[in-house]
Amino acid sequence: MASDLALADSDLLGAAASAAKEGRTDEALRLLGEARLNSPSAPGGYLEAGKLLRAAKRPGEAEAMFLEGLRRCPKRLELLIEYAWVSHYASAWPEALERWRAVDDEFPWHPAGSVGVGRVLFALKRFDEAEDHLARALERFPSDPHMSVTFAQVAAARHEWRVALERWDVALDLRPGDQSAVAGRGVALWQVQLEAENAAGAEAGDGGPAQRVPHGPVRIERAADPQAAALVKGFESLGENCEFGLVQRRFGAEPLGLLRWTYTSPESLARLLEARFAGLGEADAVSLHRTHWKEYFLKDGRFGVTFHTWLTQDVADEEAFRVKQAARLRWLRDKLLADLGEGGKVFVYKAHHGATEAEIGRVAAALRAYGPNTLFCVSLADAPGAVGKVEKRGDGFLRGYLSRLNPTREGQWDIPFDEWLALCRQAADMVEAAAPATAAP
Amino acid sequence: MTETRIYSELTEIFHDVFMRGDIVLRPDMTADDVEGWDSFKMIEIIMGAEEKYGIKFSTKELDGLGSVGDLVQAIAAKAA
Repeated sequence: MASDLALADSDLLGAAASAAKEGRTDEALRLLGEARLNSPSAPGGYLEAGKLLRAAKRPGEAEAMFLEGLRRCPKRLELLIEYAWVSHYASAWPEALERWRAVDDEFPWHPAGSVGVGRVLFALKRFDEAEDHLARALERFPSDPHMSVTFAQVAAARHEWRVALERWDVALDLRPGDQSAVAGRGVALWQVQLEAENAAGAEAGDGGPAQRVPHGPVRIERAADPQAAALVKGFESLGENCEFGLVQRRFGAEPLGLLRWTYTSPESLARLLEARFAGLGEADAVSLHRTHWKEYFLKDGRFGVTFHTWLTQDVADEEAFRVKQAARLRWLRDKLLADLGEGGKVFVYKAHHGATEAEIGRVAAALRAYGPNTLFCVSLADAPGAVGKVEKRGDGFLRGYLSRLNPTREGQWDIPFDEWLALCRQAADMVEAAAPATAAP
Repeated sequence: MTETRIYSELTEIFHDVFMRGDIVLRPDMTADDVEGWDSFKMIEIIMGAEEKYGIKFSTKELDGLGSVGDLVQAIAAKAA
C-alpha cells in the first residue's frame, strides 16, 4: 500500500510537473492538491505547490503552503529553504535572517543556510557581521560558489578593493564565466588601478586624489541610425556610471543630463532624489580633481557624486573653472528638477553588482514622489533566458536585463549596444501602453 | 527682437564660449561644424542665451534644437 501511494504520488507529481511546464498552473495545483490528500505527510505536494505559487507571483499562498508542509513534515531541508526564500524575495530581512539561521542550525552540513545568512547580512549592510559569518562558513564550505560571490561583494561594499579582487578571482575559479563575478571583478580591478594611479599622482604632487573617478576616455564609434537616436534620446540616465550615456552617444544622441556622465551609487541617487537635489552643485561643496590622463573631474562632497568634464587641456585659472562648472551643475540640476516635476519621463539607472532590490526600490519610490515618472532599472541577467527581458515591477518601475555590465572584468568597455537598444524599445512600448499614467519617452 | 540682432548677440556668446573670434553663425550650422562643440559647450551656449535674454528653455525644447537657426528662432519666440 505504501509503495502504491508512493507510486501514485510520483505519478501525480510527474503529471503536475508536465502541466506546469505547459502553463496549466491551475491543473498543476489541482494535481498537487490530490497528492497532498493522498499523502499528507509527504513533502513533495507542498514543496512543488509552493514553488508554483511563488512563480505565479502568489507569495502569500506560497508561504502558507510551505508552512503547512513544515507543519506536516517538520525539519525537511527543502521546505525550510523555500520558506526562507519567500521572505528573502520579499526583502523581509529580519524574517529572512531568522529563517536562514533555522536552516543553518538544523542542517549545518548544507551550505544553503550559511549562504542565506550571509546574503541577508549583506543586504542589511551589516558588513562586519557578514564578513565574520562568511569567513567562518567558508572554512566549512570552501568550494561553495554562492558563498564566494557574497564574500567578494562584502569586500567591495567595504571598498576593500584589493581584497575584493582576490575574492572575485576565487569566485571565478569556482564558477568560470559567472557574470556577476565577471562584472564585480571588473569594478574591483578598475578601483585598484585607480587607487594606484591616485597614489602615484599624490606622490608626484598632482593635486590630490579624485575619489570614485569612473574611468579614462572611452572612444565610441557612432552608428548612423536616426530612429535609434530618437529612441535613446528620450531616456535620461541617472547613472550608476557612464554606460548608458555611451549607448546614447553610439546612436548619435547627445542629450543634456545632470547625471549622464557620473558615478552615482544607488544610495547617493536615492539621497539626491529624496533631498530634491538641494545643495547639489553649490560652489562651496564642489571640488576639482585631475586624473593621470589629465581630465578634470568635479566631485560634489555633499552627495558623493563624481562628474566628468571631459576637459584634458590645462586651464589657466582652475578656481574660476571650478566655479563655472559648479554653475553648470546647478543649471543641469534645475532642468532635471523641472523635468521630474513635469512627470512623464523615463529615467534609466544601470545597477551594477551589489545593488540590492531594497536600494533600487527606494530610488523608484523617490522618483515617483515627484510625479508620474518611470524608473527603468537595467542590471545583469541572473540567467541566460533573462537577457533582453523587460518586466514591470510596479507603477512607473521597469526592470531590464543585460548579458554583461561595463566596465568588464579587465576594466575595459565592451558595451552590448544592440541589447541596450532592444531593451529601450521594449521599455518605450511598455510605457506608451501604460499611458496616460506614465507618458512614453 | 529681430533675428538679425539675435544672430549678432549669439555670435558674441559663441566667441566667448569657444574663446575664438572667427566663428560666423549660419542658420544651418550644427555642432558638427564647430570643433569642440560638445554637450558641455552646448550648456554654456544655452546658459549664456538664457542669461542674455532672460528666458528659460525646458529640456524638451533643448532636445528639439538641431541647428543654430533653430536656437535663434526659439530665442526670438521666447524673447518676443
